[in-house]
Amino acid sequence: MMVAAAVEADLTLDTVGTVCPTPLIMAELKMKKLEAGQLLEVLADDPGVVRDFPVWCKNSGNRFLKLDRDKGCYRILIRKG
Amino acid sequence: MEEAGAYVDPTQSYLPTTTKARLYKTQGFITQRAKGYHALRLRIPMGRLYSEQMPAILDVAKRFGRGYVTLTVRLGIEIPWIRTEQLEEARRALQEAGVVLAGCGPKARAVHVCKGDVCPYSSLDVYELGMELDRRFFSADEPEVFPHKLKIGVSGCTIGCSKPQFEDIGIMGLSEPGLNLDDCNGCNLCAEICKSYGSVDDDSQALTMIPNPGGEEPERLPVYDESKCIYCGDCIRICPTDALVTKRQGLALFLGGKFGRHPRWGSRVANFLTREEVLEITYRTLAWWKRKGKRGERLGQTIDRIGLQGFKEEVLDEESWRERLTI
Repeated sequence: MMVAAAVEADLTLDTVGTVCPTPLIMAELKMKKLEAGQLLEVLADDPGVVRDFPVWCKNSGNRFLKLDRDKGCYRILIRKG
Repeated sequence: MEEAGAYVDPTQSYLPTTTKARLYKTQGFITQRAKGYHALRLRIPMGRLYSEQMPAILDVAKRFGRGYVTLTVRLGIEIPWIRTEQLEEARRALQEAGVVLAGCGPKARAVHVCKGDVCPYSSLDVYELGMELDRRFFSADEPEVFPHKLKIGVSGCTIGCSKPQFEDIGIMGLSEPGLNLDDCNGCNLCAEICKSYGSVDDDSQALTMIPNPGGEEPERLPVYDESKCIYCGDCIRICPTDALVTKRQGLALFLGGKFGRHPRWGSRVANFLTREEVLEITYRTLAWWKRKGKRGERLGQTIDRIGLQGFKEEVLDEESWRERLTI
């Protein structure tokens, strides 16, 4: 089930159309523009992000908050560590 | 020397039906279609080829063969195009480097394992269990004789890369999740990764998310339906907050799988067996097969002929594992 986007992200990154590892690389770059505690929203349509992003968050000290999917499109929310 | 890869006219081929050819096969000299040539089948336990063994293998391939080796489905190595009169010399050269041959016949074949010794998905020590079975059946100087060939395989997880469902004895690692909902942040990763469904159109999964009946945070929580779970452990691995952990690990056992002209899916007889129980059941099953099996009959064919329930009554009669049986 999807939940409504009640929380407004500080930055949104659209990676739709790209495949692993591009979404990760783009997210890593975008994260540099945020400060600790801020929220990054990532849009993607590569199913690989389901595995890639939680692992990347764990290794980079960021907090993986949620993942939603609407048909083939993913919306990921991450809090910068 | 004939050109490597030269086409061999099949009408000129030489079927290995003579006594001599059969004898060769049991020793690991596999007679080829082209008359006068054999492939040496090398014994490479668990597919681990050691650096020290490689020079001798490549040397034999170059000196006696056609300068290449081939890899087998059960993680072995063969050196083709060895002439009959050179077989002994080639065998001795390999033996000096610690490489012995593996043969055909009504005995155990190479234990087929996945990469579960290094793969992050594996929940069991695949190498250790494979070596235990290898020691018991495959490596013996006087191999135990069975009604037909015996193929054993081990996979560390439900992805089943070594296809345990198609081995006479197939072992597969399972992981059952346990839920600590207090630690859940409602991220939805577990429900998203859950692949308990069989087809892309089916969305009835072991893990689904429902709105939190208790309050606001988190907005949603997972619900686990064990009857749909395939025990792959993906949810446990992906959970970022350890709300899902490994509650139980164990082994699934498939019996009587085979390929060939008449493939048979192995009968899944139990889930969450311990390593010791798997070994016990394996030994009992093989003893039963030796008693009841006809010569030339694979384990699965013996089970089908006598009946799975008959087999169960004779071999799987232990009270302690009754509730984990799936037949």
